[in-house]
Amino acid sequence: MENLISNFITAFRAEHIKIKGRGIYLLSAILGMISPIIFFIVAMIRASDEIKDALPYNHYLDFIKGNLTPFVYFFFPLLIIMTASRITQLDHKNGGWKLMETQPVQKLSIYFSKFSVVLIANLISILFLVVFGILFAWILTISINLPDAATTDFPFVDLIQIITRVFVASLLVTALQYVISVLISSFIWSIVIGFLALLLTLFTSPFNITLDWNPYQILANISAYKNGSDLGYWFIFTEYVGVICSVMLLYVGFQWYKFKNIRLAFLHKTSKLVKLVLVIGVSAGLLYYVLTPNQMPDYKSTILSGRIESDMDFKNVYLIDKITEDTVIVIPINNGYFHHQFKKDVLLDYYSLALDDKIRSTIFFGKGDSIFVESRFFNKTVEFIIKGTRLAENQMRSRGEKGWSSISYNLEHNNNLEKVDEFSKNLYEEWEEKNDKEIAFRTVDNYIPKSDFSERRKKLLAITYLNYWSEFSRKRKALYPNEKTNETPEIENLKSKVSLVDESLLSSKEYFKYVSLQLTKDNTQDIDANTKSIEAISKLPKGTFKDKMLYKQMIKSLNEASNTGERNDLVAQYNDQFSNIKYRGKVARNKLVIENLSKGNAAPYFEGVTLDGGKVSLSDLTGKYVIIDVWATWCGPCVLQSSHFEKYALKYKKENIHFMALSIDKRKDNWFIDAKSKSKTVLQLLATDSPLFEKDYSVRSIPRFILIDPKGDFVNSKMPFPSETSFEILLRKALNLPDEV
Amino acid sequence: MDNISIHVPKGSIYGYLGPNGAGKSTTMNLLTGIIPEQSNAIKLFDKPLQEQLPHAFSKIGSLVESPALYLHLSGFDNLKYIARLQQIDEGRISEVLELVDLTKDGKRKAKQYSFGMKQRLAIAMALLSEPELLLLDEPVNGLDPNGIIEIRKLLIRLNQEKGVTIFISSHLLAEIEKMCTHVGIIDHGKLIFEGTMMELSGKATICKIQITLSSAKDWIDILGNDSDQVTYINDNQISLHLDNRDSIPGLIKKLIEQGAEIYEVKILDGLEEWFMNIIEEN
Repeated sequence: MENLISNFITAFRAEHIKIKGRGIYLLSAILGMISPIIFFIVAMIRASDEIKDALPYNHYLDFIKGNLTPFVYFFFPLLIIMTASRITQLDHKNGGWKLMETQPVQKLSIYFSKFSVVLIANLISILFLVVFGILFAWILTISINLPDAATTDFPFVDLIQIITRVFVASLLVTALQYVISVLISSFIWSIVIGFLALLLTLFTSPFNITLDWNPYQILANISAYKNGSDLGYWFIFTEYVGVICSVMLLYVGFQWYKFKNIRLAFLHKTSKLVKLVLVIGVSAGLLYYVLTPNQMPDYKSTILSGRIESDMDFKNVYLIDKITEDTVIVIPINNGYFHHQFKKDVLLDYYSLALDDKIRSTIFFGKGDSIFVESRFFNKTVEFIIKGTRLAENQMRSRGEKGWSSISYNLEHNNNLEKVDEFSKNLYEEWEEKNDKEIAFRTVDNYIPKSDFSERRKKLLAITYLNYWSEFSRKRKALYPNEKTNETPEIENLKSKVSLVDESLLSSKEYFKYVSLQLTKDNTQDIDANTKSIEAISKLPKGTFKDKMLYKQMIKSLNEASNTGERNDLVAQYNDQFSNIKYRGKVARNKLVIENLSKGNAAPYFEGVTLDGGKVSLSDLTGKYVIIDVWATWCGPCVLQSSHFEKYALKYKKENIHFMALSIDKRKDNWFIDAKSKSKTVLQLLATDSPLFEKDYSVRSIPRFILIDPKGDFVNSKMPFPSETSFEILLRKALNLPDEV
Repeated sequence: MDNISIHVPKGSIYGYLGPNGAGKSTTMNLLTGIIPEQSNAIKLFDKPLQEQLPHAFSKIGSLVESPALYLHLSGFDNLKYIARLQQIDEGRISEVLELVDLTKDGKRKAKQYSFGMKQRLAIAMALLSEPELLLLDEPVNGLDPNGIIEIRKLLIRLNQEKGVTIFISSHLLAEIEKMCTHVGIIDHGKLIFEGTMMELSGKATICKIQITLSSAKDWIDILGNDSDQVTYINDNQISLHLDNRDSIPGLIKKLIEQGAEIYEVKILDGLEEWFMNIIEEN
């Protein structure tokens, strides 16, 4: 062993005489430096004093992570292909292999001393990327104004992790290129194979196709998962895959090199074959272990906990039922942490998680889960990371992966409505395809959702497609009144997957729609859908499922009812159908809010502060129409709508109307900075008592647009967004302006 | 290769001969382990070769593919590379450079060398470790006559001054006959002759000589008694075939006794023709 090491060191040192003047390491350094240099130039050109809202981040780490994408997708693979080829061509061209083999050095030393040179070239390149990244990031700190959110402490551990991760992730690419370059004396092949595999990664990534076995994909994952493991591991699972495959590949490559052909290397003697089988067997076993997706085990109790980092103070975390808007539990926040162990079972479903009544996020969990929520709220920017036993589930949701559907498109455009069998076939195929995609989701640590979640997703997907089918039948009924649209076997198959009384699915709008359509499909009466639905629901057996269905339908019907009489009738007729009386109260309260906010009712009083410190109340503005844009500085969509709103403010500034932007911000300084930079044609106000305003006006989400008439009565308490054309139509109608041509 | 056993006496220059494709290069490649051996059948110094590789290369210098050099490096650096691999003091480099007469060109890149210089550098690399045995595969192949002479001189000097045993393969006997002490002839994977140069010429059956003498015409008939193929070349030269080399002194003596004025006696293609004959016979 000692001999082997000294023999290796001899070969390794000799190799460095040979690469003299070839610029192998120089090329590594240059390709490592390119990305930081380009990034630096772009950052200098783009630098502006504009303040962007962001969560706190480390400036150095951010700069270097930004460099990683071009590096791992292009410059680094390019370097590895070139280095492996050049280091082996040195000997292919000059008869060097024979020369080396007639020297007192082991073939093992020859093979791995050259491989080590490639590895060192890799390391040099990574180090240059990081060192120059730090250098240029530092120059930026002294030459431009960094955003407030940027911190500049030195991220030592993170950098070490980046260096080791990139190095390990590049092992398989390096091994592959090296093995090929040694075996094939023509340099063309190693380069062709290298570039094809590299291109494969570039072409598959936009389509969300991940080929775990592609060595270049393993390297590219550095860019896809810059933050690494969710679970605090140093490496992510594809990096382990890379290491295992590298060892296997190097074993095969070395034996092949040593004995010059496959037969001599592996088949000539039984012992060699046994060794090969052993190496491949062990590798395959390890790969199987690493590649098999994991599922989080159930936890012995049900726990909801988390941490809040913020420049604002939050008192409580609210867990809110998505259907009834009931608060399930209030958890106090102590020193930025909260923790609650549930005594009762929690129904597996989506819930709203609210920090006080300001910031909301959605969370999926249920009985036997232990959830840890990491939330950060700084500079008007919010981030929720949900970890624990529902890691994969909550990540899958935030990916928002529904995607494009040709079925939905065709339905919308009334294509192919005459072909029942074809439609049904396509629908089923698309459903199957999407189902397969659902299964493919894995977290960065190779975790997949628990089975109950996958089952639920499958059901919901089936429901979506069943609803397409219902829509299809409805359209056919209108177009071809004399033809029957019979359910095909495919549709029956889909239907068999979905229960009509699954309470845990009720948070899904699609499921509610599906159940109510199924309940009313045989009702041929000439009445509206809401009435049909509520009649059918009232016939369901008593229980929590009926209560929730009825509640959802009641709120819908109340909102869509045209006058107080209708609403009174609804409450009188159906409110005693609830088994749980709390729903009766909730319905009554909802009705009151709807009544209060409905057309012709007086808009509740509120007041606000103007930019110059004056006070303005709603009653000060009577005599003119008032249109209000309710917003907050931390709300992204509000900014988008505000620009449309301001456009109308300019257009209609001569008309009998005030345009008002009412902020519900807690922090006056935030509001002041943002409001100051907004259009002067809009009256900028900060609500004096925003919680009261939100309650009175039932503000559940912003942006919100409210139109009030000159007497102070509601015209419309929930206008469409100004980005939609209907906004202007309604506005002109209220102002009695003729339609624009 | 068919059960070949080659005996190279210490201190000899052994010529390993055979036509192209006879198995010379295969022998070389097997001896150096470049072609991996399928079983432990090859023995060197009576011990299995496999066990001695690659350490045996500290005692053996070899030049298998000519010339294996790193063209982007200087002659000196090429030697330095070998010195590093062999763990030899770098002081040795100037010695071998001098030995192969490349001292002045040591700093130049190998790609600027002439073919002969490359070959000499390659030999210098093989000599660096002061090997006991030097294996050379067609070392003069492709060299111009001057180059051949230079290499030949160098090898003889090495053999005589340093006592290096040299094993040379070649397909042209003429190239090496002037320096070899021992010869082995291989054809179709079989060793068909092995022995000293003297033994080889003893085996030869024909010897063609050319004699330069005055009034050549007059001697044709006289010589006809001693040889059946007397040819008149010009007024001063005739050629004739003898049974073997040993007959030459007798013939000369006889001619002088009969008053011939002999200026020169030259053996034409002697060994080369025997060599071809031996191969053809087999």
